[in-house]
Amino acid sequence: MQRIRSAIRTQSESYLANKAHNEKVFTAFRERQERARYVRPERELARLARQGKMTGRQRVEMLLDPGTPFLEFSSLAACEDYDGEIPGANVISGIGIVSGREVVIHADDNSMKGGAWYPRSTQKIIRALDIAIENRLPVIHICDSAGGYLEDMAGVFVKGGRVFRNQCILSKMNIPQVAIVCGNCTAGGAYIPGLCDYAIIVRGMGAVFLGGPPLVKAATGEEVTVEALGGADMHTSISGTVDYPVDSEEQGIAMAREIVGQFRQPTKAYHPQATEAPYYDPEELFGILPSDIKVQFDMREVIARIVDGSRFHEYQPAYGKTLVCGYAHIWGYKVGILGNNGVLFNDSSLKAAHFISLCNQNGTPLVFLQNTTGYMIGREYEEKGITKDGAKMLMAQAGSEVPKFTVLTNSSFGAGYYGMCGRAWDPRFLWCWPNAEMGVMGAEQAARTLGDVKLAQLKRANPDVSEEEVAVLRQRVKEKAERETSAYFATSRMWDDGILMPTDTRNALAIALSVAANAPLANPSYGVFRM
Amino acid sequence: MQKIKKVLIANRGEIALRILRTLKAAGIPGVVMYHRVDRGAPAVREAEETYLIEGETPVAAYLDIENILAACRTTGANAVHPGYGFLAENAPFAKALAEADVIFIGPTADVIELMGDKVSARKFVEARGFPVAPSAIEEDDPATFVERVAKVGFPVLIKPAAGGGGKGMRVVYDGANLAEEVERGRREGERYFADGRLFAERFIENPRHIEVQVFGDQHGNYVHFWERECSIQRRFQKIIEETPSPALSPEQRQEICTAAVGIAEAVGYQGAGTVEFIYAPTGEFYFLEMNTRLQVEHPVTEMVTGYDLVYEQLRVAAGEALNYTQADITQTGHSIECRICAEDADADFAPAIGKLLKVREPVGPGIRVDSGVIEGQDVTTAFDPMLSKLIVYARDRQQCITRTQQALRDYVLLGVTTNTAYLDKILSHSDFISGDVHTGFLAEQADVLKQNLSQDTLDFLLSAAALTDEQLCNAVAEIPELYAAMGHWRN
Amino acid sequence: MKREFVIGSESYDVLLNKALGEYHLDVGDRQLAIQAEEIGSGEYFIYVDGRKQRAFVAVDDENTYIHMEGKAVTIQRIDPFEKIMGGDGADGSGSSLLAPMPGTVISVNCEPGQQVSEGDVLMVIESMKLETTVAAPREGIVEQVNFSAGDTFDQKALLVSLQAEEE
Repeated sequence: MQRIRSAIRTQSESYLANKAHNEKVFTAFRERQERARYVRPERELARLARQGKMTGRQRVEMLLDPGTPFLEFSSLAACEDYDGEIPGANVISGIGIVSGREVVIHADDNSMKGGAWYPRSTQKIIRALDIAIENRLPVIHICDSAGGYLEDMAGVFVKGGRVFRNQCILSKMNIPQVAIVCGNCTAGGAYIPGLCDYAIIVRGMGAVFLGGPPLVKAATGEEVTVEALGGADMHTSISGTVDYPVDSEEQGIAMAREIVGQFRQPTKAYHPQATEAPYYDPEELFGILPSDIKVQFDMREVIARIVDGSRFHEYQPAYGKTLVCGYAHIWGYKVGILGNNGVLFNDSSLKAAHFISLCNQNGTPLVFLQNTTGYMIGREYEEKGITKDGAKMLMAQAGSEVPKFTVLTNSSFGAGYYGMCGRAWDPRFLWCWPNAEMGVMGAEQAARTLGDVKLAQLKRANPDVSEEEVAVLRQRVKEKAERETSAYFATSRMWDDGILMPTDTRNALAIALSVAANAPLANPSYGVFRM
Repeated sequence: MQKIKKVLIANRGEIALRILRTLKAAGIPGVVMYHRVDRGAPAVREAEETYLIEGETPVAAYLDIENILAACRTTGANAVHPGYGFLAENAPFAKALAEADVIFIGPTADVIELMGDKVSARKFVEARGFPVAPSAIEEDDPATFVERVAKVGFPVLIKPAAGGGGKGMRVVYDGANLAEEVERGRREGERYFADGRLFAERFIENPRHIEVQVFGDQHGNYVHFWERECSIQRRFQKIIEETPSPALSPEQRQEICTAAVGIAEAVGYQGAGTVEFIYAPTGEFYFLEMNTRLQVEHPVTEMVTGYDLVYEQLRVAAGEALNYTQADITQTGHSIECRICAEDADADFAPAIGKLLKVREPVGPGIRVDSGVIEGQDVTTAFDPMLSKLIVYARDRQQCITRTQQALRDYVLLGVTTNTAYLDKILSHSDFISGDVHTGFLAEQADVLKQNLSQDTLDFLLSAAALTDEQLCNAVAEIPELYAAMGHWRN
Repeated sequence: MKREFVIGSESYDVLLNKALGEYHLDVGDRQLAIQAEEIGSGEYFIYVDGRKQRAFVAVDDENTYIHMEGKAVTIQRIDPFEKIMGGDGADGSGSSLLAPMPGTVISVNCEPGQQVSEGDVLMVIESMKLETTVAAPREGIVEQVNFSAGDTFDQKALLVSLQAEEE
């Protein structure tokens, strides 16, 4: 395979300017992430110390095999909800290695508001379990939550049920789950250990019940202690709801590791070949991504900094040049890459549809590197059938049986976001880079279009509107558009699986490729292509 | 040697095997008696005839005179070699054998009785004009014993009159705790020897322990086989012995050996015996005690003189006359013996136990290993911690030291902690190399003699431990390649 | 995977990894590239960062015995997770008096339930031909006395225990 020949000059003015700009963007991301992970109010930490508890994150770190990676999901979930006070939506989730097995870990983050479940919390758990289902990964739940956030019962209740539904589906699929009960599992939360194949509970710390002592007292007048109602010894010796009593969280974690060590290693649908590091330094991505979202860059420069040896077999290099297609390897895993190099035209759409079918035919997972402002518009392109050519691309992409992975590298606007496997198209994983923006249209264009509409409304109500009022309106619309197209807005709502540093993309994709191979590949089949 | 038809070896470990070898070479049938804990021992494996003994404890089995008499009757052995320890210096045993018409390979019972008691031995020797250290004997006048001990002068060494091997010995540096220490010494004497009588003598600071191998036959011939220096002791027990002693001038050597033969002749000694002396840094020497048996360290003497002392014992016991004179016995070259013990020198010589998982004895010019253990054997605390003896011969002392060190380094004994590295460390000590040692040397240099590991050695050790840890390697192998290669990565 | 290797009184935390066919050992903040080649029964060439040593290695359940550079070293292997599962040693320290070495009990000077002060002689034992006293490490109440005079015991045997201290 040919090595991509990079045209980047690391001393050029534009490179240095981009680098300076992006370093700020990326540092800001890292700082937000560090805060969400580690910064907690003193009183919460004091409470944990008093209870003799580890934080959720410490538990995850102890559970993992030392010296192995952890691919965390949505570290900034809920970062723009609840006034930013529920870091990571009070849930830590991700893929890690426990006793040599790939597993999904769901750990309640007990270091803020007792690990209470907000709507975004259950959403995040559900997503983690969806990932487990799609990629046939065993799940380890580390339970320590105060329960559903009572002030938003409605927001948790209806959708939250899917946590338990997903647990049942996992079990039905013969995918094992382990629960370590390190705190209260109240009401719905009680079903988490209840639905696991193996449940462990820490004496004097863990408790499982449908209704806690206060609720029992209110309902029936019965007075009962936490230990008697749902403590470790009761559940492991009387009710049989939980399997293993342990004396400490550490012992619970060691027990879980022993249990996972018994699981059968999965049969992989495909295997990696020998790997090599990228020839070009991934750090150079900082100088390649533009400081202005509107400035074009060559996606091959990005590919060169993600794939093995920077080697890329380009398919149809001379046709449909606004979409780069080709084969490469990531940590030895063969992938078919589609990367935007401009607006999607008829030929680039056809090329995409063709290349996607090829990859399905030969069982090659797909990686979409998005930088798109959408499909070309205008009379000429409509006459050429840009819509039906785009439809072919969508049809091929949606019908894919091979795993798909999407990375939003810069701009993701309009139907291009759909064609390049946006969230709604069920890629196994989708990540945003910190600089990424997405939406029906770009913030500037949206501000202009929406601003015009609003201004017309305003003028109808008050024809004498002042210049200042107009300026204020436009500014407000622009700010809202900017906020709502940002990666943070998206990641807060879990429209992605987290914001990813460009330099982490290679590893994240490799882990995704490895776990995706746990599910067998079906034969390709599609809907009807409009010819 | 027609008189000796068959020999029962009333011992175990390395000495049983060592005696058996001489018997085999001399064409005399040998019987190895053993307790069941020793059934895998090399002597038991190599013997053509064995005899199982029993006892309340393994040690008791070997100490049971009835056991041995029964063994002689059953096997038809008409001679017993007691080795060292156990019943080797037990007069009633020697008597019992004589009554049963079995030859005891050792001195007569009355000599054992006389010389086995430190007090009577000392009196006997002193009376015949041989040098002894200032002392006090309890039974002379028990009421004034503490007073008389104080008069001997401090520091003073208090020991059981019936003792040996360092058991129950204590050094008292001033008069403050004297009465208490005397009482404690009495208790220990009672426990070990069923004899609480004590004996005290001036403790000579920084003394050397020098002993002389003597031999006598039943026809009034007496010779010595030169001296051995045994100053390297831990807890009053020898661990390195050598000959010739680096401390003696030829004149002093002559003087001390002559005194030893004189003592042997005075008691009418028959067979192999050892006269032990305390040798002061100033050059005087005092009679310490006489061991009426073959010593653990006898091989160094064999190495430099060329005689097989066990063979000579057999000849004397058979009533034959020494067929050589003093002039025939020359001391050539140098020999060092190291006692390989199952113990942790870095943990106050705590005895070590376990299974010997790997044993590989050193080989090479001048190297002799008298071993009582083989691979797969369990080492328990039932017996003495000594596993084997490494005896090395070379033309001169310097070469002998380096050859011994190399042999110690080549000696692989895994599964039980041993003192090989500690012995190596002693041999590397500049004071040992220059011969400037005394019986307190090891205690004095304890800090210097501790093991230390360099960073480099540590890296290799930890690596070897990790890579031979099957469970660890299996767990590591379970981690998919991709994740192991990625390492501790966090997004 | 982690191990705690104990040599004498020193303890070393190591992390073994195998990536791309090569073993790596993390010791403190250093990483060593290591390899073992078995050249005979229990006989190895050990490679560390390209340097080589010959070693004899024997392993039992608890320890690894290595003869290298002319000396034998015993390394106790501890699997941190197994240690946690064992769950021992968590109770109040200083309550259990373990035998420093194998030996015999000479006398027992206390009985269960007895109040003792720091330094009180609880037992006299004999090891290596010397008497040693086992003294109370702190004030407390004797919980168990596990041996009588004349009994023999192994290294690390629990001789006497004191009741756990109130928190």
